[in-house]
Amino acid sequence: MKLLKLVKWYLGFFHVWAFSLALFFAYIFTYDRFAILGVDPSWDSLLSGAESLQEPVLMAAHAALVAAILFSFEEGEGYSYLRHLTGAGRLQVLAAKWLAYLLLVAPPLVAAKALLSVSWDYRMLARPGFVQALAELLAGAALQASYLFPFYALWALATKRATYFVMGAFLELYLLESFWGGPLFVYGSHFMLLRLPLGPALARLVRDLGLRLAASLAHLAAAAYLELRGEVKWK
Amino acid sequence: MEVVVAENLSKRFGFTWALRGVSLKLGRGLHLLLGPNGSGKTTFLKLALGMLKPTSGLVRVLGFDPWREWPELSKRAAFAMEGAPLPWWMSGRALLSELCSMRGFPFANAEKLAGELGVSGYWERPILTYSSGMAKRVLLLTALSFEAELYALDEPFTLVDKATIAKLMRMLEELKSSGCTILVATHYLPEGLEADTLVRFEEGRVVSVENIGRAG
Repeated sequence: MKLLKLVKWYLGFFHVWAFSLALFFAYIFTYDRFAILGVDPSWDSLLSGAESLQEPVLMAAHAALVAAILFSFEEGEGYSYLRHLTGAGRLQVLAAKWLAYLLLVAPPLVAAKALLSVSWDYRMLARPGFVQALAELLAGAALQASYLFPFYALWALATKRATYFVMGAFLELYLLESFWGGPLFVYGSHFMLLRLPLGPALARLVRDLGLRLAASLAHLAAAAYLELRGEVKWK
Repeated sequence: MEVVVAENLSKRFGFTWALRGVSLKLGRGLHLLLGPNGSGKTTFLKLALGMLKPTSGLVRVLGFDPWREWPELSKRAAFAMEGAPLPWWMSGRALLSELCSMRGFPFANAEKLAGELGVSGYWERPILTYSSGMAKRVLLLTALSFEAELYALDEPFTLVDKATIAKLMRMLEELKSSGCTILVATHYLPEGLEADTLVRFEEGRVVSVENIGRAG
């Protein structure tokens, strides 16, 4: 129960939900260009939209922004004081942040695709497998967000200040990430988890990204260690 | 019964020792931690509340290790620390309502105290718009709104007007007479405040402990 209340607290923290709402509209704008450009506006073209540069970059930038607020901004500005006041344990706080992050990062992308596909063709709702495809898309987005989470959480705990975090994360995203893969392999993991069916995607992810997944888990362990060891920082 | 026990408690930040070898036993009652800025009184409070991990030595509060057992201890302790930021994007009322909900306390007590401290008149507004004195009163409510056995207040008498100080002193007296323990770190001692113990800090050490009244 307390975990849910903490998740609610983090969803409203610094009005971070507003960034997710803004990203929802950004996705809508991005996808709507299919119609403008004369591409057949269908559910299939929306799914293949993951091939475009915008979608993986938008999602990774969104993930970085949410992690910056939930970790760097909270610690750096001293708002960790308030969560200490609630009596929450450090592991409970980490779990609440991860859940809030997932809720904030994954649904805008999936909701935008669902809304646009239905608005383009309402019969989509009756299409067999549509709901299942949406659920798989949501699970894929949540998995990719989870894959990015340890890296961003660790980066946030190391930098402490939201400004430094955002600078670092965005430099990494724009300078190092490429179609051939950067440290996060944003495009590759996005392609696998949001375009392929979930089962084969997971198998391929483990096969192709085994080392990166292991590094991601090591990040998670390091972030958890730093968080558990941490001290309340005061402004 | 001893509420706060510290044995050879030390805390170092980098190369600076904020607290060195403090041993202290405090029972129920109102205890004032006195000393100039940087003398270690606030660090002692933070260690007693599990916000900091001791470098060496131990501290026990109500029988709990604050660093390891804060979720349990927090059900019996409340605090307000000087300079702690309040979420400026919220209203004072929304903040206290959230905190009451998360700590499992009725909001009615916060509303009553807000009335007494003159906070109700402005707490619907965003914290962003408060003066420092107004924010300080909301900060004090984040401790005093909760039922606890131990209250820890850091510099509660600064930034507020004389009328608020008088009300605050009356509240502390009431808490004391109801059997609570109150730790107050301050460098300003208001006239008429009847404490049980005066603990003086200097350069990270306790230089004197003066038992004035009942303490235990």
